Amino acid sequence: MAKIKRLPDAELEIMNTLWDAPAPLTAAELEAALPGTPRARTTLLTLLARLEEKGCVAREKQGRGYRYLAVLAREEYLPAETKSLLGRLFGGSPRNFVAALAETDALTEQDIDELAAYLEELKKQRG
Amino acid sequence: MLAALFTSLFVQGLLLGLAALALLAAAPGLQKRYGPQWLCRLWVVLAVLLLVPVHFLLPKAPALVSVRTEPLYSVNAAPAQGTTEEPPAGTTYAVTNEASGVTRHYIASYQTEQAGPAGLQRAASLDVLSALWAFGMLAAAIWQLGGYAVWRLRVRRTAQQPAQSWRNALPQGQSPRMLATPLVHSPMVAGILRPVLLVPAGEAPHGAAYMLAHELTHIARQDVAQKLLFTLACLVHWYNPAAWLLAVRAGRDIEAACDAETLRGRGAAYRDAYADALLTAVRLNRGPALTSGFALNKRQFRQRLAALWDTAPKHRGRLLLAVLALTVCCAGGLVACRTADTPQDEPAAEAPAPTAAPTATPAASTTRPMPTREEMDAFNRESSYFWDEYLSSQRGYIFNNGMSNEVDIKDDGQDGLREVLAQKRKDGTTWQEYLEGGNGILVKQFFEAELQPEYAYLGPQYGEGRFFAYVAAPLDESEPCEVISGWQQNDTSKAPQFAILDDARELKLTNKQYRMLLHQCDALALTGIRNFAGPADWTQDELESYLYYRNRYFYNEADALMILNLDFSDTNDWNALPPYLTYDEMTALDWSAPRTSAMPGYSTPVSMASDGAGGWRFTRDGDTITAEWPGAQRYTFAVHNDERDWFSRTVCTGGESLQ
Repeated sequence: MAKIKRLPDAELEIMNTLWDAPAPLTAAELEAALPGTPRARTTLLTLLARLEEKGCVAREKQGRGYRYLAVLAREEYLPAETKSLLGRLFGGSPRNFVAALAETDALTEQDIDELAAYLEELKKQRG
Repeated sequence: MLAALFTSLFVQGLLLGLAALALLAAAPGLQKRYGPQWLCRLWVVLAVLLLVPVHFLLPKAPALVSVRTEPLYSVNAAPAQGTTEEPPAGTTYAVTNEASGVTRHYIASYQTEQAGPAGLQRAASLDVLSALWAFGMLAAAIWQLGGYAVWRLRVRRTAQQPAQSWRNALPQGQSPRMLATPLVHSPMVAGILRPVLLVPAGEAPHGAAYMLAHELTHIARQDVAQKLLFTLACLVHWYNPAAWLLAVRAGRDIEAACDAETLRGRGAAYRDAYADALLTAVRLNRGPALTSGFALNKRQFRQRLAALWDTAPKHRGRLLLAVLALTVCCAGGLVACRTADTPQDEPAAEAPAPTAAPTATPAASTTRPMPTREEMDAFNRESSYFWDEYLSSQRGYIFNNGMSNEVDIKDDGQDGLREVLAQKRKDGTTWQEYLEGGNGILVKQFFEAELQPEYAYLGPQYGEGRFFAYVAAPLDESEPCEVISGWQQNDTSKAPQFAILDDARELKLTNKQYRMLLHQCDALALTGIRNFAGPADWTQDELESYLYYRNRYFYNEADALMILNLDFSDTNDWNALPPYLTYDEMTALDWSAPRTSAMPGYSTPVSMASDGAGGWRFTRDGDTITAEWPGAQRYTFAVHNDERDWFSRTVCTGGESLQ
């Protein structure tokens, strides 16, 4: 497969919907599932055709219409997402603007084992 | 303005930083007694105080640096040396003509003058520092916010529906906005206005419920907003290590407070499971680190775990918090701890010596507040009104330098003020009422008035010397200024002494003699009389023309006898009939218009209006003065001195053509 490039917003939306869907979708189902204002059927079909060309989507005939499914896996695509220019420039980290659970410096396996042991001690001693 | 903001924040940051360092040192003890939530409140107070530039926003608040705006020097003590550097544009100045040439006198602010020329340079380097600060701040802001914006965009694009196991891990009854994304390895909260709970893609790990409980507490406590506050403080005070230390400590206390909140009212089993979940999260986060300024090292994480078992009840510490907050405010110079220097009350200066520099700024007194913008504008309007409009309507005088200052109408020590203010205006109100109503300001304008030599003979009203007058300057621009008092003699004890003109000094003449000489030469040349010993040699036309031109210097109020006696004899009896005229001849004279043409190539030099000789060349030999228009004409004069200054003059004794 050709090198995966970052997808534009509209196409990525379709991929996300397909990834979240449990089974291949018809164009109508896809349209319903897409967030935001409903798009014209022709626009949707154009986008799907483009995705098909890129090898991200495949369609299978079902009755009178087609069903679409994602060929490109989510995990396969993800690296492309992090390689944008701005992302490289800034590092794309949330830095100080999120509240996480346990932000720690880089810890080795040994460090973590030590911490685990310490925790067991605390449980035993303090009850 | 940027410099003022920077200075305000810099000083604030410095002082608050010191206070912060002191509190940070005491933090471990304070945490034991009051708990992490209390500490968080304290840090938030500090961060807010760091971010609000109090002195910049409240100009009336006592500044750490005060500047006098009244002139540095008074009349009696001119500065020993002036700075030779140009002060900033817009500084008031006035021009004086002195023996050494034209000088510009600037009003330097007291502070600048004290600091000397170096002070002006220091002001420039402050601008450089402020620019550096602003640049550093912007660069850091773009870096941080840019990174965050890119990350949020990526999260949006890679967002998925969270796995059902994550949804199941939510506590009963809570359903915040939740998104799954491969970009995070453990749950976190992002966004302030519409917080979103971000969870990793895939199934929820063991202990997910406790992780989510922790994150929900973050949402409830608005921890993201608090972290933003500290980040902003670090941005604004990026050069100040105290700000960073504060942010780091605050980050730790925010997490500890969140732990304490989540565990409140829970039993030991919950706590054990919660601690396990924390450790799981640490494991999950191993990999490309979630870099932030708030990350804990191993030792600090141990402390955090240990703190989970700290169940001792904490003191509320409300009073201490309030006291500390107030102390920090004072330490940060945000509350008046000392009054700024108030300017000295300088009494309205006497009229200046002729060579002193005039000023145009109002003198501030200890009882008077600083003049407002409107008052300053009115003051400047008064100045241009007085010197440009009013004085040009006053004839017969040469006006010199004068100081002016705003008058406090309540000041009863001012000479004649009560009577002047009691006068009625055109609309029937008194000036007292008008000024008390805040419609305008009253200016005491000093000036020096020197009589033109001819005017002295016409019976002047005011005499000459140093005067002052009260001028009312309305705040409304469309209303004209008005001189509401007559000329008040200032300092009648001394005889007036005016600066002697250079050319007069060279000829050893008084100003009046010299000016009269110029006028006489001009009238003679305009009349075009060439060779003569006295008016006896003139034709009637020539006589009439001379009287016409000469009378212009007398404001058309002199009569023939006065002019002829003044210019051609040394008698002081103006009504004496000169020997070359009969009474009938004199009454027959019609000098309503000139009858002769000027000397060829001559017209009154423009410089004569400001006592410049123009093309005339004068030489003195004993008591004789020769006036020459080079290559054309020569007139001779005898110097007549009288103990009464205005009777001293030059007397024409003849003319000779040089062509």
